[in-house]
Amino acid sequence: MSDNDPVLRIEDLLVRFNTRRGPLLAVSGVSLALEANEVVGLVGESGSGKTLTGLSVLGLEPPGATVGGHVWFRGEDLRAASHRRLGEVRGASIAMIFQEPMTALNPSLTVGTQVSEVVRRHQGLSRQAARARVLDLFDLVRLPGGARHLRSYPHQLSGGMRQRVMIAMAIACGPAVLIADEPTTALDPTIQAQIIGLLRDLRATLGMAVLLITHNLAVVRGLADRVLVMYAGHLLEEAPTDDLYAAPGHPYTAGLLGAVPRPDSDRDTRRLTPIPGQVPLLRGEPEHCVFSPRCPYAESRCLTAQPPLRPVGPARSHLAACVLDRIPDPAGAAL
Amino acid sequence: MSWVIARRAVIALVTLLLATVVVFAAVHALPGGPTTALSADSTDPAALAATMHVYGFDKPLPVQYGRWLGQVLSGQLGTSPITDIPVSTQLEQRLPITLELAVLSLLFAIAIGVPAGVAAAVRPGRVIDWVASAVALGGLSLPHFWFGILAILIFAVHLHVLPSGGFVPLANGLGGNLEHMAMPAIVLGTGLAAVIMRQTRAAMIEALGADYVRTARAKGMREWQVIWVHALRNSLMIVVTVVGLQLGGLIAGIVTVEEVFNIPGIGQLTLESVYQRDYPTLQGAVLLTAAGYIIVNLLTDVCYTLINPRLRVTATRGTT
Repeated sequence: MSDNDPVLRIEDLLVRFNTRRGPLLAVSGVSLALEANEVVGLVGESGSGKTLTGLSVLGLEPPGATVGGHVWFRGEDLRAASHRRLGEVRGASIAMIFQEPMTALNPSLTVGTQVSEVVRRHQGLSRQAARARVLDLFDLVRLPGGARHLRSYPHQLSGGMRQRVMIAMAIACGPAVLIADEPTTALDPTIQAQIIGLLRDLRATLGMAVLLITHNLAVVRGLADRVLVMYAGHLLEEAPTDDLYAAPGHPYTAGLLGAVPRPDSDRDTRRLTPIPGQVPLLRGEPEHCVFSPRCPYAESRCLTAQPPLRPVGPARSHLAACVLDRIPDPAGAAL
Repeated sequence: MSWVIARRAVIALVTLLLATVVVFAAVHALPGGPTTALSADSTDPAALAATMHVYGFDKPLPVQYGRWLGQVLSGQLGTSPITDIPVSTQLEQRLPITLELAVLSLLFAIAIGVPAGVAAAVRPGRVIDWVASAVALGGLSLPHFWFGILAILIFAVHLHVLPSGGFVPLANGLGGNLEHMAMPAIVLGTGLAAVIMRQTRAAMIEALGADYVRTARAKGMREWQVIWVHALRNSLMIVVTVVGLQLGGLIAGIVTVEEVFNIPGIGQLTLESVYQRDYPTLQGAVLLTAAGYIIVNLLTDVCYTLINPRLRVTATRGTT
């Protein structure tokens, strides 16, 4: 494996549910690659399919989901891997943290047990060795109180401490990839900043790639090297973080940026600009651009097919799934 | 946590005191009385009146209650006017038998109900779920007396594999004892096994859909650990509560099962003393049953506290 090979590559991921009202297309043809030590933000509204994308990497999609495509990890297709093999990869090579640490932690096991069982499972550590490792991990995630909380239950910790425990569990075996699904959404803003800082530090010290799934553009801007924008199961834009914020290539992204409060904004209008309408539920592959019903620039050629991702702007690494070469006025895009 | 238990214990004591009133009133509300039973042996009204006086049955009811309560508090439960054996002696002889029957049937119910519930929950809507649910519904619907007699017909009369009834004390050998206890324990425990199975199934289906189970899978935990450690641990709270509530039903079933299988336990003693209007023995037996029920509930609360860490009163809440 050369340095340029991505550590994780999702290829043509498709997630479909067969509901009573017919099929539901949740993720449609998503491809993305994660280089070693890179943080990639996967951004989208609720229902855009970003969480399902993360879960599908580890085969954790909910029952009833039909998943197609490939997830390449170190030359192995995890979508074709056995249960046994997935069990070895999960938590050891690819780890995941979730949005709500209160429900994501087991309420009737101590946090010490929950962290130590990861290293005991994957590294075969003895009870004593695992305990020592857990204390190291508590230090690493800067859990206040440290050893005092070996025998604490999740309900005895604050939200931020719980998320630190979740992170300790995830990094316990030094994973190559961390999938962080809305890691700060359930937390107070001040705690959010601490957790983002912690993730940034850990990524630097541990050298892992992070797939950061969030709807929060501020979190992405603070952490991600690259951003992918997802909408109704489709990738609409992919760009280095700075490029994306400087000149969004897709009207949806422009709309998202218009809906983010910007304290540094020198524009006199401090009003947020909402995107009208809501994310559609797709019954099948759309015969028009998925965003066209809400797009202020939609024209007749948008109604024939979903446009593929194509380079926009000066950098080859900036891709957008839009027929426009340039968005007329990025700042006030969504009217 | 000890504070919680202490509070429960006080409530239990008050309940027990109320139970004495109910037991006494219910026993004396029975039609007939010791005269009816005693008059079989003696027809002489004067001798009968003398006996009634000795046992205090001629006193007004509140006085009789007060006297009985005094006896209960001092650990004496009086003497049977029928057999002349102290009530406490009778209870001491028969309680271990009933306890053994109750414990065996509870063990049977848990050993069958929990694994069946888990198996059904792991594959909901599949064959194993349908089979387990159907068997549970059947087990729940069988009346003890009918199921008991059916079991005797099959295993004792036709197959000759188990004795039809009776009791062998543990002191005479574990084999003989268990041989006699197997059928009654299974008959008594089947209904409870069905309830436990259904509750375990419901609780496990919920637990298996919980976020923390997804976390456990994301950590790479083996499926048996996910099911038997992460999910079952949280389901047990519900199961323990249900078992506690259902043990009352088990106590009621004991009376029937002991009668059907001719086991000389508290249940049979209760029935015998009802037939003979043996007030002191009946009061003692029913009071003991009530006390058993209250203790079971107390233990359920304690177990619940032990299993659910959120009910423990500890102060290590911190802030980030």
